[in-house]
This record gives sequence, structure tokens and C-alpha cells, in this order.
Amino acid sequence: MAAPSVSCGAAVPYRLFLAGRVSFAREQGLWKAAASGLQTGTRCQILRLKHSPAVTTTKNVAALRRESYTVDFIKKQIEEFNIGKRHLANMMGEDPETFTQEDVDASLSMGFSRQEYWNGLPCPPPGDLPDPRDRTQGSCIAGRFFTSGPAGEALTELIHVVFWRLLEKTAGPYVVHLRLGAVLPPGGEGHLETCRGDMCQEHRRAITYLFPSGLFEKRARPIMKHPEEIFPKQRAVQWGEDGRPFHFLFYTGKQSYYSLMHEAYGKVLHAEERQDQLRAKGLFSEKSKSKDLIGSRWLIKEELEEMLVEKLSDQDYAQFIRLLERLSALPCDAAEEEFVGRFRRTVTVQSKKHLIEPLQYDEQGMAFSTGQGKRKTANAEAVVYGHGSGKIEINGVDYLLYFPVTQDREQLMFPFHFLDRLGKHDVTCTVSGGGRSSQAGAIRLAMSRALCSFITEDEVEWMRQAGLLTTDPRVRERKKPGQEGARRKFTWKKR
Amino acid sequence: MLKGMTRLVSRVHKLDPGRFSHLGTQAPQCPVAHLDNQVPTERTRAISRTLENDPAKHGEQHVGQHYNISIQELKTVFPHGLPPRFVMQVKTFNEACLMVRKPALELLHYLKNTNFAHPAVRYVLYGEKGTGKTLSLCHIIHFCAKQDWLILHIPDAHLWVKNCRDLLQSTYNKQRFDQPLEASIWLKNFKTANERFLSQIKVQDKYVWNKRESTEKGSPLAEVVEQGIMRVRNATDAVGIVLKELKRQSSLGVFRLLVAVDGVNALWGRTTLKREDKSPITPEELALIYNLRKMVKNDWQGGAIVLTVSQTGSLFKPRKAYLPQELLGKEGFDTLDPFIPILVSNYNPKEFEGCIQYYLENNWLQHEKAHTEEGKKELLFLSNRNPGLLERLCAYL
Repeated sequence: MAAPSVSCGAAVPYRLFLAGRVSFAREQGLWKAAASGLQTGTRCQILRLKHSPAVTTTKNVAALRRESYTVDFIKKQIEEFNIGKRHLANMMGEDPETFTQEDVDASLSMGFSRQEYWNGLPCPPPGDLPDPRDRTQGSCIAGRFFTSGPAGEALTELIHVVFWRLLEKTAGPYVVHLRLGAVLPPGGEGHLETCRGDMCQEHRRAITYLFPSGLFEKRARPIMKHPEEIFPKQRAVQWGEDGRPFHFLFYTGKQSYYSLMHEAYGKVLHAEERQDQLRAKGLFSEKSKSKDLIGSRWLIKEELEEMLVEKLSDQDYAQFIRLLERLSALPCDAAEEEFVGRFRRTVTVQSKKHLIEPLQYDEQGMAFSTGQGKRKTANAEAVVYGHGSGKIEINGVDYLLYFPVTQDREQLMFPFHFLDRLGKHDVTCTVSGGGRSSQAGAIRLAMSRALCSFITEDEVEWMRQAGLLTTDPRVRERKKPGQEGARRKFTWKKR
Repeated sequence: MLKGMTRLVSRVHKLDPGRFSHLGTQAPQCPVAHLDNQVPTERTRAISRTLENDPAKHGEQHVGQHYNISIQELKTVFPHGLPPRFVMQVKTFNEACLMVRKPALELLHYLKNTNFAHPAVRYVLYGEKGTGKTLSLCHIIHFCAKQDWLILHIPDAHLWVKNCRDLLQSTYNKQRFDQPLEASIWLKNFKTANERFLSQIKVQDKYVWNKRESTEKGSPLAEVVEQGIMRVRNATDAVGIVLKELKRQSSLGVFRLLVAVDGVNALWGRTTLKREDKSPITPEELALIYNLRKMVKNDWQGGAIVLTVSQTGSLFKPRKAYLPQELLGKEGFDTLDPFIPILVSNYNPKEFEGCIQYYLENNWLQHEKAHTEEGKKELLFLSNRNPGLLERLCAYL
């Protein structure tokens, strides 16, 4: 297996806690000392790390102390994950390079059957294996896709080892990295992309299909995710063997934050200097920076904390944002813009894009549209016709008779009144469940959704902002034992 | 032209008190402002009001318009019988205006063309709650009063089958029960409504009330009524006598009789009254109901019977029931059969507009949006053009 090379460029920040002896020689070449300042190339602050033998957790480990993972261990996890992803793709019959886009359904339609697959194996599916340590069950996973190559046996042995060793782990989720076949493209090691592909929906569906689990706790079921998402980020030890800290700002307590501020301020000074020079030369021109800032937002405090792996206070965060805004107000060059860009996230203008059904036409040529709505336990379905006189019929009964209370009728009126279409549509709806008020709310939601087909996009956005298109998430809270109701406690008696 | 001017002036005077109360400090400028505003209200009044105050002359062109009933007429013709909310409205607006509507016009047409030699025809007004059955009945009663008929108006038959505190065993017939209070109230109102007839009609039998009092044959009906009002114990019997005599004598052609019962489905339903041993009483065991049933049978001539079936106030009937069959039950329907059903429905757009204009003229709708189209559309949607609901929506809080 190839060692992870430095060329895995878009490097994932590793923060691994290693206890034990230092071995400088190998490490210094790989990781930069923090004292030299942060480079903008890497996103992370990689600190001097130490080696230690891999920590294998035994079954008796108390989970009180945070799990510490070795560098090697994590790296191996990532490799195996990627390989497993490729093999999953192969197994599904899809192109490994672009597996993220393929649908499980498409692959299922190719006649792939789970039962068949497992039946083709000499060894039974994982659920049936009697003894996890029993490695005498020969060579394994000789599936359809198995190509016996020179790597074959070693691979399968590795599969077992990896698979079952992971099964032994008590901490953390049950991670499956399964080499399901060995269709390795030629030049095997090259495919170890450390792409940080997120394990998308299709992968997850593939895994739930291949490993159906009867466990109720969803978090205990087999998952296949990038190790980054599973193993939590940890800080490495900040000082050397002699006790001297590596970073010059260590004694501030928040070294990453202050070093970031230091850097940002340095950039601000640099930019101001340049601006003065330009002014002196007379080449200064007002440049609008608003282009970058539209459509994106600053990192929120939690995201910044996650990035720096450090706790921040609100004032710190505010100060940092102010500094960045000051920087972005000055004319910057590409490097500075890139620096600022690291702290911005895009925001979709229309944060909620939902499908707008096209209009349907019935036999008479009248345009109509359907919508569904829910509120508490009431379900409603509404059919809104394009031309009408404002009649609303619910379960075959006129709305005046169905809702004698004015409040409910006002709820029904809201979408039409909002769009100024009060007597222009006819509605027929069915509703069931819930009470009077929740039925009215459900019908209102259904009508609003149906109306979306008749109106412009802007009006849809206004409706969304008015709250007409959002399902009300409030449901009845359960009663807890030891209390009289959901919140109400029993009468407190002093004695 | 002069008529227009006098109308304008009278309108200004009428509106002034209202204006003052709302505009307060701007009082001195009011008259000037009025005259400017009168021009549009002229047009709106053309929609919502008509000068034709005689129901006999109402026709298709008056549909959706309100006509005025003077307060004195109101006192004589309607001592009882108007819905309570309408009475409040009359008191608020200081005028009684009824809207002319299609079902009432239809009925009027039939009544105008009745052949008094034939047995009395039964008309049943039915419809959903709040559509205007009682007020249509009042319209008819006003017409008949103007035409000099004798009005026998039972404002709400449901009141006679529930919430009766004092039930006496009837003196006339041991199996039946008397309701002295209701009977005496009704007699009082009947007297107010038909003063002039009571002296003309002569009783054709001798009635002995007790050892000391009796009514001779040939004495005017007024005496029977007086007896019933004064001696409350005999009120129910007095009512029975009145009904019997009127029925007998209307066939002779001396006068025309209009029997108007609101909520006639009470006669054949159930009651909530109980005997001392907690067993329920059926309607026919109540003397008032028993006599009234005889009245609505069509075995007499010289008049008409106009009835209303309503769910409001009815006992043990589902809320959504409004058809005569549902409300009357089998027994009632068979007894009333054959009858002419007249459906009273919600306002049509023109009537709705007229109603809104009427409220606006009386400054009843104070919201700024009430004048605008959107406001009207909102009201339309919320009430679905139901008169009762519209009135409740526009009411004070």
C-alpha cells in the first residue's frame, strides 16, 4: 500500500493526538512548523506531530477519556474508504470515477440482486458468520468480480483483517470498509485518491441495501462515511519534549485565533500601504468590492471555532469579522481576496427551492393544480381551479358549513387575500384527521402549494416569506412520566 | 328636483348625529363635507334603498334594496316576531329597513293571487341557517297587515316546547298541559297586533271559565283575550278559543286570516319538558301545540298559512339539517303535505352589494378598507354571502 504522499494536496487537516516519543526526522519534512507562520496554501494549521504506536482499543476501555487516533490509523482509514468506494462502484457496475452521481436504482435495475451476490460466495454473509476470529474460512470473498491476481490473496486477507478488526471496536460507529471485489484498475496505487468525496446518498443507500440491519438505533447500523466525518478532530500536543511550546502565541491561550488575527492585520497594513502608494502615484481608482460579498456570508462563530479547533468568545468573533470587513473594504490583490474567501460561505438567494408543479388541464380545458398539506395530525389535499368564483368545497360540503368558526375561514382566506385573488379560483379539497384548527391549517397549506402553479416566481418567494408554504412543525409534545402533562408538573407540596 | 333636495337635507340631518359622534372636533366642517359626499351616496342609495314602502308594490326591480318601515307601524305590526338581532339593529340605526328578496317576492305573488274560496295553502320557507327565513316571513306579515288581514303570528314555536317553568294540568282536558306564561305573553302581543279586529269578531259559543266568569255567545273576541290576559290560569284555554273561533270565522269571509308560524318543526319534534315523574312530554300533550296543529291543517278557507322550518332553536336535530323532510320528521311532513316549499338562499351579488351599501350609509362599517373593493371581497369570502353571518361579522365586538 502506498504511503500517503505529500502530493495529496488538498490535504485534509489532521489533528491527531499522539502520545509518546517524538521522531523528528521523518516528520519535520512533512509538516511545517507553526513558528514560520501560516501558509495560505494549506487550510489547516499543521503542528509538529509525534508518533506513537497505534492505539488499539481493548474492550475494557472506559470511554471517559477521548479516543486518540494515530496518524497512520487515520490515513489507513481514508485509503481503505476510498478503495472501498471504488469497489462498491464496481460492484454496482458503475464507473468508479463518477460514482457519486449514480443511483442505486439504476444499478438495481441491472439485475443485481443482493441474495444472488451473497449466494455466490463460498462464505456466508456477515450476519451468519459464527466466530469473528475464525479466519480459517479460507479465502473468502470470491465474488463474481473477483479477479485472482497476485494481489488477490493478500487483499482478501487484508479484507478480513480490516473488516473484523473494525467490528471489534467498541467505540464509535460500526464502520464498514469492505473490499468487495478486486477490480483494480491497472497501476493500482494510483487510484488512491484522497479525494474528500462526501459519501453521498447513493452510497448510503447502497450500504443499507447490502447490509440490511434489524437494529432500531439508526446510529448503530453499518455506515460508510469518510473518516473525516467519523473521527473527531483533535488538537495535537502543543509543546515539545522540553516543555517549550511550538507556537509563539501559545501563552495567549487562543493561539490559532490570535495568529489568524495577526496575519489578517498584517494583510490590512499591507493593503493600506499599497493603497497609499497607488494614491501617491495617482493610479488609485475606486473599485467596488461588493461583487464578492453578494451571495455569500461570513463564517458563523461555530464554523470558525471548528476551523481553528479552539473555543472563541462572541467578542473575539466580532472583532475578527470586523477586521476582515476592513480588509475587504480595501483594494486587494488576488492573494488577499483568496484569504478573505476562505472565511465566506455561499448563500443561495432563494434558500428554499421547491418544485413548482406545472398546471394540469382537465377535459373541459380548465387549468387546475393540486397541493397537499399537513398540520398536526390533519392531512389535506386541495385542487385549485384556474377560473372560478371563489367557491370552496371541503369533503363535499361548503366551507361555510364545514367551518362555522370565523377564525378557520380567515385561515382559508389568507393565501387568496395575500395574492389578491379573492374570487378568482374554485377549490375542492378533502381533509381528514386533526381538529378544526389543524384541518384549516392543513387546507391552507395545501391551497398555497397548489396556487404556486398559477403565480410568478416572485410571488412564490413572497408567499414563502409570509410563511404560507412552510409546514408548521409543531406537534403535540408527549407527556412525560412524573409530570402531569408535557410541561406541567404535579402540584408541589411542601410536606 | 325639490324632492331630491329635501332628501339630501333630511339625509344630512339624519346623519349629523352619527357624524358628530365619530368626528368629534371636526363638527363645524361637517355640513360642508357632507354635501360633497352626498353625490356618491346618492348613487349608493340607489342601489341599497328604495322609496317604495308598500310591500304590495314591490317587484323584481326592488330586489336587493331596503325599504323603510316606520316605527309606529313596527310597534303595531311586530310586537313580537322580529329576530332579536334585528331589533338591536333597528334600535341602533333608528330605522327599520327590510331588504326585498326573491323568495319573499315569490310568496307575495302567490298571496296576491290566492283564491280565498279554496282551502288555505301552506307555504314553507326553508333554508340554511342565517339565510333570512324569519325576515322574509316578517316581510310577508307586513304585507298582509297592510292589506288588512288578521295576522296570527307565532314568533317561535320552539319557545313553547322548551324551558317552561310552570306546567299546569289543563283544566279543559286532563291529559294535556297548560303553559300559562307563554300563552299570556302571546295573547298580549296578539292583542296589540290586531286591535281593530277583536271588537268586530263575535264569539259563537258560550265559554265558561269558572264558577263566576263566563263569556256569552256573541260577545266580541276582545273579551276572551282580556280574560286570558287577566286570568293567567286560563290563558292557554283562551288561546285555544281564539284559534278555534278565527278558524271558524275566516271561512265565512269576514276577514282574511294569515297564520304565520316560525319554527313549525317544533310542533312535531320532541320537547325537553318533563312531568313530575321525569317522564318526557310529547308535543301533543301540550295544549298550545295541540291547538296550533289544528290551525295549520288546511281544512279552512279564507286565508293562507306561511310557515318556516328552522334548525336554530330546534331540539335534537343535527346542525346541518335544513330540509323540511329532515326537520319536520315523518309525522310532520305527512301532516303538512301538500305544501309549497320556498327555498331561501344566501345573498346573490346584487343583494350583497345592497347590504354592504346599507351598512356603509349608516356608518356601520368603520374600517378604512370597508369602502374598497378588497374589503368587500374579504367580507364576501368570510361570510360566503350568508346574511346572518355577514351581520355578525359586521357587528360590534
